[in-house]
Amino acid sequence: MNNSKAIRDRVLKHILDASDEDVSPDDVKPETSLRDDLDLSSMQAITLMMDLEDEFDITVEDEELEGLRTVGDVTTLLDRKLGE
Amino acid sequence: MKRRVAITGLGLVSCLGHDIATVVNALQTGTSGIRALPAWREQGLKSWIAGVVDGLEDKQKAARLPKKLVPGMSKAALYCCLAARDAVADAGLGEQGLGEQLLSDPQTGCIVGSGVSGVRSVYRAGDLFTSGRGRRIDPYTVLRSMSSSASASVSNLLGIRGRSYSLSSACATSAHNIGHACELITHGALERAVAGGGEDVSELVTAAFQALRLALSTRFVETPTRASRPYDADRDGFVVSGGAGIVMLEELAAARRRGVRPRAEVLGYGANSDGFDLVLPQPDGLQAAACMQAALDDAGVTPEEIDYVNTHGTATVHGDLAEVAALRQLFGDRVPPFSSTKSMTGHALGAAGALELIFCVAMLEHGFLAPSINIDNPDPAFEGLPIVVEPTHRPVTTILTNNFGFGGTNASLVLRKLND
Repeated sequence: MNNSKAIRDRVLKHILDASDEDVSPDDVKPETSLRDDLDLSSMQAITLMMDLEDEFDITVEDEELEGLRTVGDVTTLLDRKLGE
Repeated sequence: MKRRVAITGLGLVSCLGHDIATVVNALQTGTSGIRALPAWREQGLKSWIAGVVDGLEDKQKAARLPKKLVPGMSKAALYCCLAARDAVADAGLGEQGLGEQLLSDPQTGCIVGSGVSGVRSVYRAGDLFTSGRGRRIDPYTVLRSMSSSASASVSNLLGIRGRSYSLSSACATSAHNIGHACELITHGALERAVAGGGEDVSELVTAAFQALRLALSTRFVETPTRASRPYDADRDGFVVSGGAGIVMLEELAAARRRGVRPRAEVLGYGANSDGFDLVLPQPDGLQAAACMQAALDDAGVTPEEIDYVNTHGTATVHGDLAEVAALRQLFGDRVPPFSSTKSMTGHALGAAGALELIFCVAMLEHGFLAPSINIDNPDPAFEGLPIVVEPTHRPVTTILTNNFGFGGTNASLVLRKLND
């Protein structure tokens, strides 16, 4: 399992735990919308990032939270943060 | 002609139980919901007893509360949501279709409050902030601690789109929320409302009451079920409790048109203030009596028509005396039977008014008077008064219920049994 796949799986677990939608991990694509497809609220998105900050020991600035609309946005941000 | 207000649905969460049948049984048998909390004793609380609200897991699971709403709820708001689900279902509005249609109607309001909100969240946030870890403050802190957490949570849960807000008036909170909702329906601003209130049972709030020194009962902690004793000569303060009471209110004619059987009518509402002291009640009970009179006037009934009074009766020395002084002023030498159900529940603070109103609806429906338990040594100050000390089965038609709050705020409601 490569690093990106591992990150994606851990991100997916957080997202699907938070979502009320009955979605299979296999159905979640990078373009899957946090709000429209997974029905996550803005508050859940913030909490998700706080959980990921704790889990991956990173810091996400407030400005970086803007524009996080899809699952791919989240994993891309995490990849970048972990590469810094 | 005055628009009339029907109660068409009931829902509650309480230390006596979380469904109407269980609670009615407790009221009819004079069963206390107070128990010891040894952890509170370890934390230094002298009143380490409470009307604990627990065993909610199954109810919460059945309520299917959305994950995106729950983290933003204060404990009081969570209790209100669980009670609201039941109240709406009881009114026949729990299913999709008609229920969804009426609840989302702009003429449906959500008037639900709490005395305090999210105290634990504020404490945690304060702890993080003062220790330099403010960045780790839970983003839901604002939602849990805002005074409108209860109405925000219930309205989002039920998809309510009419007016939604919370009135907060300490221990009169849910009585004022229900009274205000009734006025909105009477005046035509709303056709129906989800109304009531809730309160968390919190050691932090209890510690704050302890700082008032003489508010809480401390002498009966070894016998918790005997501790809340309104009208007893040895009463020494109230026992903290919590929970939630929610009622579905509807304009009576509209409720009947859709075929629902009203459980009771809210006949009248009165509210005023003592303007006397932030904590102590006005000893002569003048303003409390005026509040009750206002409710009777609004109801269009005479004092002689009141079959029973559910008193605020918290078991503080001064509070019980002042309320009974008010009863004597209003009713003269014909004070009707009265009791304090707080002898069984403790004082549910912001939830008290709604819970006690629901108890009164149960008394109207089942034809009984709930007792004031624990009067082992009657206070001579109340000698000769018809305090209900045993569960009493008898027809009841019209009930007056009182709630008073710190700050000197008063609320009275008159309920009447409706014939089918």
